[in-house]
Amino acid sequence: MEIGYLIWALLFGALFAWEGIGLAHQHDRWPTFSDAIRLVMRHAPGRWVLFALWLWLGWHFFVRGWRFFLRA
Amino acid sequence: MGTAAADSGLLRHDVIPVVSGYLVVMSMFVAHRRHRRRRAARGRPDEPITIRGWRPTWAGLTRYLLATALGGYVAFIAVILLYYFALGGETFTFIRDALTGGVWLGFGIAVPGLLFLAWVGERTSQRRTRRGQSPPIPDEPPRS
Repeated sequence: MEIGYLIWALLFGALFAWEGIGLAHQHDRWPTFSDAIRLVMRHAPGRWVLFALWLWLGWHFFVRGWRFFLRA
Repeated sequence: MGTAAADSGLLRHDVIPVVSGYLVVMSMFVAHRRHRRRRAARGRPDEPITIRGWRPTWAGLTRYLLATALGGYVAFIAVILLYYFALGGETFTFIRDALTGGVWLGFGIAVPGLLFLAWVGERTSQRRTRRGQSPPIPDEPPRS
């Protein structure tokens, strides 16, 4: 179980690190999540997919309980 | 027996979500890269990305948010059904929880919450305008 927490923490940490580097070095053409999300949100299907992803995350973390992720 | 169940759980609850998330993120970055190349070909590599699609009125914004929430809810339920039928291991309660929980999160929290944030943003912008400061540049330029 602990290894599961560690892996998820590393994955989310990597995402935040990516965004931080992207924001700090925008002149290097390092794409940030905010740029990519803004681009995807220009089109309705992209907004639907992102909203579905948000629902999926929110449902798992706050409705079903966050242990669901790490049940294995 | 126990090892097989643990492997199955690991696959369904960890490996598939991570691989799916990876594919979604990589697709977004590929789309971003293509878009940037197209802008560079037009000679405007640093042109800001604008999100359009709603009339700058409260009714327009509400329709836009409801359409987004409805489309997202349908996509969410499609993923849940795919998960339920393709991977198995869940009871029907899983689908019932997704249907009710998705409605609550999408239409009970997200849409009212975003409308509230839009209202706060507009109030802040109006206050700045009254004080003589220029308001921030919005994503959607006002239309006449």
